[in-house]
Amino acid sequence: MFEWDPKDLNSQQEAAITEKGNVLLVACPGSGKTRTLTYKLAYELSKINGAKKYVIAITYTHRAADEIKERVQLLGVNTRQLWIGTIHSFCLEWIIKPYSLYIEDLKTGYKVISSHDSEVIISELCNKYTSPQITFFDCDYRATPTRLVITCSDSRKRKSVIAVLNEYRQILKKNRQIDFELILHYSFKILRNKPIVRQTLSNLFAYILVDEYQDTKEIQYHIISMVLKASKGQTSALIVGDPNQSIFDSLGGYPIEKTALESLTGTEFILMHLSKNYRSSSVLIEYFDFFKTFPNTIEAEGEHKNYKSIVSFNDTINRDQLENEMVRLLELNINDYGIAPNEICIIAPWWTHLADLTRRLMIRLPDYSFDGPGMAPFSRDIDNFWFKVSKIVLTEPSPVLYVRRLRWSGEVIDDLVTAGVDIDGLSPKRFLRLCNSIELQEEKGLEYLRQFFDILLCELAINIEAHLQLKEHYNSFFASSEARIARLTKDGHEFIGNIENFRKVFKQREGITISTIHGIKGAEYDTVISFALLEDYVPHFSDRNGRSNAKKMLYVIASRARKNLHLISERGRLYPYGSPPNEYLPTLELVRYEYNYTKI
Amino acid sequence: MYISKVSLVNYRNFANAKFLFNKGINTIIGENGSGKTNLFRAIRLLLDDNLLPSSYKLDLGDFNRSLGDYRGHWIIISLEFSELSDDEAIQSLFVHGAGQIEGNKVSKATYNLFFRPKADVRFMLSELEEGDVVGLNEIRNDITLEDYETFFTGKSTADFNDPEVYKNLVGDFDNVRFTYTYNESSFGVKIPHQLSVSKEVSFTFIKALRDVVSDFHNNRTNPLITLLKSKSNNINKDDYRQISETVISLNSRIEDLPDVQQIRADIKNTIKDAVGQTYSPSSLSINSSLPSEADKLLQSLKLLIGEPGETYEGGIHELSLGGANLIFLTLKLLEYKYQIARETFANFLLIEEPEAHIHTHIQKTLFDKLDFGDTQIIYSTHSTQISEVSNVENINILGKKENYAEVYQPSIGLQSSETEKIQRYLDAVRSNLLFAKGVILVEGDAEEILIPTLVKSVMGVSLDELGISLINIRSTGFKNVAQLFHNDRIRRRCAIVTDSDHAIMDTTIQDGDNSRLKRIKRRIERSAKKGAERRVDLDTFCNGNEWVKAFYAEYTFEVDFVEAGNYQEVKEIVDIIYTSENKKQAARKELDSDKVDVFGRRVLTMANKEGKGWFALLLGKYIYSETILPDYLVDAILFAKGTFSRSLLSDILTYRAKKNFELDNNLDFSEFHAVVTSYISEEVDLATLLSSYEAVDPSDQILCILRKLQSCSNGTRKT
Repeated sequence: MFEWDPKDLNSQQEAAITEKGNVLLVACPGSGKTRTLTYKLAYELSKINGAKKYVIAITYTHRAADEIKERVQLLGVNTRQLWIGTIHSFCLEWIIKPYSLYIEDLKTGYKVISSHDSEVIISELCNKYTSPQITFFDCDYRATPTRLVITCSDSRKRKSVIAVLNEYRQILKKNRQIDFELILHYSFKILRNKPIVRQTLSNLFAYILVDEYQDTKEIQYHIISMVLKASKGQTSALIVGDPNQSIFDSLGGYPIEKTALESLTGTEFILMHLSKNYRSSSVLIEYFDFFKTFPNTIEAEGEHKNYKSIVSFNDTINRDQLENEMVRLLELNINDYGIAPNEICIIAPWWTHLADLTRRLMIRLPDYSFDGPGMAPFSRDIDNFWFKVSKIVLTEPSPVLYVRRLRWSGEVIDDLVTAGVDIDGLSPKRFLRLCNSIELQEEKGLEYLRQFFDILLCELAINIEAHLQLKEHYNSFFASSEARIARLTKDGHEFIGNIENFRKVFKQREGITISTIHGIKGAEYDTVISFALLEDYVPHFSDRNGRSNAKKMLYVIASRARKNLHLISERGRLYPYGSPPNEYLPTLELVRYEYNYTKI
Repeated sequence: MYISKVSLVNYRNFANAKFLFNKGINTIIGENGSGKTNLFRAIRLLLDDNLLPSSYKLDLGDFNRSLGDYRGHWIIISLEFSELSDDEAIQSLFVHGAGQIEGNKVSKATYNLFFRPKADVRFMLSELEEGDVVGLNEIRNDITLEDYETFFTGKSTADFNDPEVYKNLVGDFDNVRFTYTYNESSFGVKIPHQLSVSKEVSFTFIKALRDVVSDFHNNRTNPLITLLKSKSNNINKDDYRQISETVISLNSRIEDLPDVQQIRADIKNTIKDAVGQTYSPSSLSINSSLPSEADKLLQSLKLLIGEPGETYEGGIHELSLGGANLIFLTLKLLEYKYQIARETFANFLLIEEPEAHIHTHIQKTLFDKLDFGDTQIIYSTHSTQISEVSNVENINILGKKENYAEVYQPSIGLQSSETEKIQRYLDAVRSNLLFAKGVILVEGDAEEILIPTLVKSVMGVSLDELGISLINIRSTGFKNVAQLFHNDRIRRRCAIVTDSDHAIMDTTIQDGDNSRLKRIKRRIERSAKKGAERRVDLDTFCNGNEWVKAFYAEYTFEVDFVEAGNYQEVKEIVDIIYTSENKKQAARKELDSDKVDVFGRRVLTMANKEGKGWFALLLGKYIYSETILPDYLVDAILFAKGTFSRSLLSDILTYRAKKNFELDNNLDFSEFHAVVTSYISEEVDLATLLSSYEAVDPSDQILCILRKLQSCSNGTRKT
C-alpha cells in the first residue's frame, strides 16, 4: 500500500484521498489540487486488485497528463496500470479503437483530422457564402448526447452554417476522417448502443479520475457516467475542479451539480472541498473572492500569506500609453519588488492584443525574453506525428531531458508501428541517438525541420509516399505551421520563423510569460499583469452568459498571482464600425467592484 | 472458455484448413508428417508465451508450399473461442480486445495472426489497375520477407477458410484486384496493447519427446515449485513462526555438532599450515543451509515417488520415463486448479503424442476419469487405442496430400443419434478406420478373412501396404459407418462390399418339389427380394457422394468366389469338411459344374456346415497367386485405393511375373523387366508397361485388373 509522510498533505487532501466512495471535490485556486490528484492516483494504483485493472485519469490537456504521470512515477509507484490522457484520447484508446467495427462509418478505417485541417476545410467552404458572410468561427459545432448541435446564435447565419457543416461532414466521411467532436459523438453512440461495452470497460476500470470538471461538456459527463453506472458501484470516481474557474462555457464546459452527477451515474457522490490556498497572499485571496460565482470559502495558508500585495487597477490610461505603462510595471516589479522575470505573466483576452504588445516590448526591453504557448511558431497539434518528432529535434540532448526525450522517442516509434512502417530493431535509444547525430546549418526553422525530417526518413529507409498517414501528417504539419508563421510575422514577429524561436517552444520558462486568459489555466506567477479588460472582450460580445463568465475570467486572472496583481482597462480602443466609432469600455464587473486599489 | 475453431491459411503444410474443437478432450489423428506438430505450433504462436517472439519472425518455410510463390500472400492463423462470459471481471480485458458482441452478449471471441506485407506494399498493390499482371509481377518480384509484418486482430467475424474472404482481405492474384481498405467488422480490429492474450490464459504444451526430468530440475518449468509457490504466498505467519524457529535451532545444532566443529577447525589449520596466516581466510564456517523463510523452505521440498508395486520411493530422475510423464501431467492439471492466483481464466493443454511416453492404458484411464474442470485438452496421436477414448465429435483427422494437408471432422452434419451409433461402433472395433487412407466395409467374417489373403496372393501387396483398412461391419448396416465418409466429413474413399443375394436357382415352386426344396426356394426368394431392396437402398445412399460406393457380389461372396473360376480352391477343403466318400465325390462333382444352382448350392452348403468364418479360414490356406480375384472385389479395391503410384504398379506386375515364372519357367520376362525400369523413371506409360507384360503372358488376370485403371478387358484363369 502506498504510504505518505503525514506532512505531505493537509487533512482535507488526505480525507479526499482516503475516501472510499465517489468524491466530487471542489478545489480552490492554489489548493494543491495536482498534488492531491497525484497522491490519489498513487494510492489507488497501490490498492488495485489484480493486473488487469486500470486507473483512469482524464485531464484537460496532454501537458497536464504528462506532468501528473511523471509526478506519480516520482512517488515511486508503478504506473503500468495507470492510463492518463485527455477525454479525446480516452475515447480513442478505450472506445473508438477497440469498438470502431460497430460503427458503420468507421469500420473500414478512419483517421483523426487535426483541428487545423478542419479549420482549413471549413474556412474554404465558408468562402462561398457572402450574405451574410460567415467564417470558421461561426461554424463551431458540438456533440451532445442527442445530436450534433450548431452553436451559432445569429439566426441570419444559421442556414449557411448548417450548409457548410453538412458539406464538411460529407468531406470527412469521404476521406474517412473524424474530428474531435465526432470522437465524442461516436464514443457516446457505442456506449449507448452496446451495454456490453459499458460493462466491459467498467470491469476494467478500478478507478476513474476527472480533472477540471468545470470545463467538462455534457456529452463527456455522459460518456464517463455510463461507464460508472454500468459498474454498479465497483468503479469509484473522483471528479475534481473549481466551478469558479469554469471559463470554457462557450465550448460547452460546465461544472455539473452534485445531484445531476448522481442521477447520471446512478450512485452517490460525497461533496468535499480543498479550501486552503497555498499560493496567494491573503490580500489577493480576499480580492478575487469577490468574483466567485460558486459559494465556497478560501483560507490563505501559503508562505506568501502575509505578503504586502500590490493590487492595482488602471482604467484611465490610453492605449497609446499602454506600452510605457507595461514597461513601468515590469521594471517596478523586477527592480523594486525583486520579482524574477520568469515569475511574471502578462495576460490579455485575445491573442491579437498580446502579439502587438509583445513585439513592441521585445524592442523596448531587449534584456528580457518573452515566451508563451501562443508564441509557438509552428503548429502544436500534439497528435501530429511530425510534431512529436520535432519535440525531439528541437530539444538539446541533456541529462535532465534524457528520460523525457526517451519517452518521446518511444511514442514516435509506437506511431511508426501503428502506421505500419518497418522499424525492425529500432529502439527509442537508437532513434534518439540518430536524432542527436543529425547536424544542420539552417536558420529558417521550418526549412530546418523539413531537411531534418528528410534525413531522418532517409536514414530509416522510409518511403513516405507509401505511408498515407505519415504523408498526411507531414503535409498538415507544414501547412499549418506556415500559416501560423505568416500570421505571427504579420503581427510583427518578424524573426519568429528562426530556428532559435522554434527551439524556445520546448525550453523551460525563462522569460516573461505571455498568455491569453484561456491559456493560463493551472499556472501561477508572482506577478500577473492583465490588460484589455474591456466589455466585449471580457466578456466576449457573443457570450450569452456574459456577466457570469466575465466574473469567472477575472477570477482566473486574479487567482494566478501569488504576490502582485495589475489590472488594466485601457481606453481608446475603438470598435471597427460606427461613425464616429465608439470606444471599448472597461469590463462592468471591474467597474462595479469597489475595491481600495493600491496607487502606484 | 475453450478453443472452438482453428483456421489456418497458407501456414506450413496447411493451404486452407479448419479444425473444430469442443470443450474437454479433443483428438487430432494423423499419420506422421500430416501436420500435427504444425497445427500445435500455430496455436502456440498465439497462446504460448514462450513462442510469442517467434510469431513476429515467421519465415519462408512457414508459407505453404502449394502457393508456389509466396510473395504478396498472407499467412492467417485464426483462433475462435466459445463460451466466454461477459460479466466476469477476469475475462473483461479479453472480451474488450477479442470478444464479438452479438446483440447484448459476448459468447465468442476471435484472435487472429496475420503475417502480411507491410502497409507500403499493400498500398502499392491496391494502386494496381485491375488485370495489370505485369505490374503485379513487378511488385511481387521486389517483395522479400523484410516487407512482412505480423499483425494481431480480434473480434473478426469472417470465415478465413472461405476463398472469397481471402480474396477480399488479401487480394485476387489471378484478376489483379487488390484493395487497401480493410473492413474491421469482418477481419477484426487490432488487439489493444493492454491485452496480451497469452497472459490471459494458462497454456502448456507437452512435446512428444519431452525431457520431463530436466523440466523438474528447472525452477521455471518445475510444476511442483509453481504449486508450492502459490501456497507459500498465503501461508499463515503465526503457524509458520514455530517451524522457522525450529529450523533455525536445527541449523545451529547441526553446525554445533562436535564432528562438524572438528572438521571446521581442521580445515582452518590445514590452510594456515599450507599458506600461512597472512593468506589464510579471515573466517571460515560450515553452515547448515536448510532455509528458514517460508517460501524458500517450501520450495526446497522434493517430490519422492514410488513406482506402482514397489516400496522404494525415489526422486523424479529415478522414475521411469512414463511414470515421470504421468506425474508431470498430473501436476500440470493441479496447477490449473490453483489458477486463481495467476489471474487466468482458461486452461489449455496441448499434448503431442502422449503414447510416446505414457502407456496407452494409463492414458485411457487418465483421460477417462480425470475431471479437468475448465481445462481444454488437445492431443495428437497416431495410436488407434488412444483415439478410442475420444468422442468422435471431438476428433479432427488430418489427411496428408502433396504439399498440403486436409482436415476432416468425422461427425459434421450428423444427427446426435447417428453420431452415437458411430461412437458405439468405434468403441467396439477400435478406430483404425479413422486412420486409413481408404476403407472397405464388408458384411461378414468370410470377407474379412479372405479378402486380405486374396489381395496379398494376387497382387503381392497387403491391404495395409495399399493403405486400405478392411472393416467388418458384421451385418449389412453399412450406412451408419459409411456416412462418416462425405465431402463434409472424412474425405476418404469408402468401398462397401456386399452381396446382391440373387437367386442361384429358379425359385418357382414346381409340382414335383419336395417340402425341403420348397423351403429352400422360398428362403432364396426371400433373401433375393431383400437383397434387391438393400441394393436400391444402398445405391440411393451412395448416390451423389463421391467418397462412398457399393460393390456387389452377384449372389453371395462364396458363390461369386467359385464363379470367378476358383472351384479348385474349394475342392481342396472338401476332404476336410466331409468325411463320407460319397459326399466328398458329390461335392467335387458339383463344384466342377458350371451351373450356378449346382456349384452355388454346394459351396453354400459347405460354408453353412462349417460356419462361414471357419470355412473362410480353411479356404485361406489354399489361396494362390493364380486364384482369381472376383471382379467386384477388384472394383472395390481400386476404388478404395484411389490412385496407384508407378512404383506400386511396378511392384504388383513384377510380383505377378515372378509368380508366373515359378509356375511356368518358359516365360521370358527379361524384356518386361527392362520396361519396368523405364516405367518407373516415367519414360513410358502404363499401357506400354501392360503391353510388354501381355507380350509374355497374355492371359494373366492382372492385365484385366490393372487395365481397369484404364479400361478393362477380360482375363482368364490359368489352368
